[in-house]
Amino acid sequence: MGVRMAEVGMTGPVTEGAEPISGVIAALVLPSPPMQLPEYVGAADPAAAIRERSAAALADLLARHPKAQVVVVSGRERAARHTKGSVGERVGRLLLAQVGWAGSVRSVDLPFDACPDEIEAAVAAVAGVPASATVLLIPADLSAKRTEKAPGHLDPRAAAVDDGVLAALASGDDAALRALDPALCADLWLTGWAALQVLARCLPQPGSARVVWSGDPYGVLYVLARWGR
Amino acid sequence: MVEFRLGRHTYAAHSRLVMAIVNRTPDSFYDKGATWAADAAKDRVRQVVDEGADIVDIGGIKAAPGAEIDAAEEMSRVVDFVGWVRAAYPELVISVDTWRAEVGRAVCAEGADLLNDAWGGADPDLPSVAAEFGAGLVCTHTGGVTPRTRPFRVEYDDVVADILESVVGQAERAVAVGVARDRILIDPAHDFGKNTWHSLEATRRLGELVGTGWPVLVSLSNKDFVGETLDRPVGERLTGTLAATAISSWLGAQVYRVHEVAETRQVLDMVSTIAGERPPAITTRGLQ
Repeated sequence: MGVRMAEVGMTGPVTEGAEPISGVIAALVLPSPPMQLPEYVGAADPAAAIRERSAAALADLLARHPKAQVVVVSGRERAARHTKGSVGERVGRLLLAQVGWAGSVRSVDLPFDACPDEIEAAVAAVAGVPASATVLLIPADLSAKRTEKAPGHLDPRAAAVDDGVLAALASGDDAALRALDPALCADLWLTGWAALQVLARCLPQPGSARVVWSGDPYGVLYVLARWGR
Repeated sequence: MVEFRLGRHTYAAHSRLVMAIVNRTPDSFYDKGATWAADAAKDRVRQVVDEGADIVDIGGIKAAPGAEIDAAEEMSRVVDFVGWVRAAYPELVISVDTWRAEVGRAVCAEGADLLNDAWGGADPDLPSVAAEFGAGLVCTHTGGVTPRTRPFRVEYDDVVADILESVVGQAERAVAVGVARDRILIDPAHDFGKNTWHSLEATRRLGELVGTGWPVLVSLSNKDFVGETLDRPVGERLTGTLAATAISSWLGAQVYRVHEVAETRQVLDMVSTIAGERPPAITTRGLQ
């Protein structure tokens, strides 16, 4: 695996022995609806199952990498009307707190409609982390136009694009993620596009890839997927 | 609360007015096309006038996303109908819910008194039309969204501050292009560009809008923030709507855009009476 990391151009020292300790070694793509955040939960907690499923996957992943540092890579509005930090970052930090993570956490964000330079800057920010194995948390959702009651109403193009992203996440196909049409993704309110671009560049050919769960209970497609070991 | 004017009327500072929704649409969320046919829409106007509506708000496009309705189609739905209402009810205040200046011009030519710019200035020429015809204008907050889109993960540091900045700015710009200052209303626009938490906070802090000195319109009727608060589907939101109406009227809102006129009229009369601004209808208890 250390060779693989070297092959994909990750920087930083690698220790002697079987286990590499630098570079991006794994990533978890997870649902990021704001309704998961405590400040938006009313008497009922409709996203509890989504949050708990994510937390379980996160706990499992971090148990394998107890000395890793975590980088939360999230999209955000280009011109936010608030100063709260991205929802994705807040979701990521909530889940890390929930699983009792006491290790290092950093955040990298970029606009939902990031230009190539902004994507490369985010990739550099991830890669520029000091010597350590790195686990990425990628709060990223697929389209929000899957039904007439979806936030963005029905767009008949959404299903095919979502299916393509799910297939790419299931197979570790970074090329397919890179090939997504940003304008089409923007049309579909596919807010995870930018963060997935960072994933594709930081952990190409992850070796192991799996979609743990996906679902669209509110017309937005959520996905929980794991790349890497 | 302030004195203001609509159409031929001047309303006193303690007025609480009912604006009845009249949809010329086949697909609005609440009535689902019940008044799509012209005869049904005319019956609706007769009914709401009988029930005590002060204003009718005629709309040709549902707020939710759906098939695109161009200006020509929108005008075909509302312009002649406004003319009919004007002729049949010379005293009734006629509002038209549109964001398009060209539609606004056509309905004002038919006698509309108020342009309800429910999408928050999406067409910057609409206030000039109101000015040209001496009509009024409703300035709404949408958080800058495109007309007919739902809010998606919108956040604000302070939603009421955002509302105030937007609606007061629109109102002042309307005055600058010639709309009469006392014919302008501001509307926080519950559910528009807002999640339920935002709409609840806007309701709770409605006094801050009233404090600007512009008359406040609220559109609460059967909306999702009521539905989510009480976990009730469309069709079971009247009680929650009326509770929000009572609170809003106590805090000083002056115009209520509603589906259920008779029930709203009763709530507003009750609040006005508790406030000491309207006498009870009859008092004999303990006074025989």
